[in-house]
Amino acid sequence: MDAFATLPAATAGFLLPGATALPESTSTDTRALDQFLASVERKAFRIAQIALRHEDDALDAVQDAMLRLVRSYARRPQEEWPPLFYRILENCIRDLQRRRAVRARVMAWIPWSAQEEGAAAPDPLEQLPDPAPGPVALVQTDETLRALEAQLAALPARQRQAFLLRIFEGLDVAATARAMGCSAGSVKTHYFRAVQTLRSALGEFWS
Amino acid sequence: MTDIDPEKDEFARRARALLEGSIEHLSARTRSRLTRARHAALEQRGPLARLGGAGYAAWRNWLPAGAVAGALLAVLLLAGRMPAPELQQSSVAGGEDLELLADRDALAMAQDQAVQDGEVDYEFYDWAVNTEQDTGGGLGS
Repeated sequence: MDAFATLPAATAGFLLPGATALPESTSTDTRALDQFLASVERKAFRIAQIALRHEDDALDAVQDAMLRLVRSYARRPQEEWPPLFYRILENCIRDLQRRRAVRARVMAWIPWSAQEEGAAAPDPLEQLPDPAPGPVALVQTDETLRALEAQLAALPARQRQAFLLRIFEGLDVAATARAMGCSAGSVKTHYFRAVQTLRSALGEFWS
Repeated sequence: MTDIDPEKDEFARRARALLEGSIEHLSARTRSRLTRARHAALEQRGPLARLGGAGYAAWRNWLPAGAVAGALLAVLLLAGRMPAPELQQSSVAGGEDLELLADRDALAMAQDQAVQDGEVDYEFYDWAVNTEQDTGGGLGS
């Protein structure tokens, strides 16, 4: 049974019936899951951050995706975890985007909501210096990265997803297709269009 | 025409280098929260998961059978607690006997009914006639 064929578009109800159990011990599974999640968590966070343009929402999306993967798909073969995880993550991102749109519509009717949102105290951990190299030479790289992120955020969701899964996560066309729930041909089309759009938009930064 | 190999495309290589460089510079807070999220996700592998893959699956497979067996047992227990029809009748009859003994009119009516039904105690009448002849008077007088 193909796990990806039955994954719903929404985040509700991720459990697949008849998940096959693996003979490995649970401790081995847990260690493998830990290694897998540790290997993808930062990239997943960046993918969510680019899509949501919000650090806390991105962290929530990644945490939710991790919880759902462990809860429902831990017994799946390990080679299925990357596409499953990114599919769940994309659903979480979409959920957060929908929730945010609803919240924005509701908050627009409440006059004092904007003042309260701005009154939150800064997190002291956020004030810690990042382990960035720091030389002035990196400014240009930083600008290029910001421009790339802005253009990626402006892409249609499917194009952005195809580009990031292929380029950033390094999934092949078949795995990307499973993660996106579409055909390999669609992945190629989305990816091609994304590259074309980004190339024309980022020409000045790339020269 | 639409197939671009990310490994051979210069644009793709540069984009990958930029994005991969960015994850090296995540803040301490972000890295800490990601680690905590991972641990929280793995902690939910609770007692059921610790039963082991095959054991847990087998337990889950037997769950419907257990539910059916439990329902059958409940039905049998309920049926066993209900009294049989014949016992119900005898207990009703016993109640009627008590009422008859307590009510003299009812006893007389029951005797009349017994006569009508042909359940006449001829030995009683023999005894009554003999007693009357012996005493020379009416019965009970």
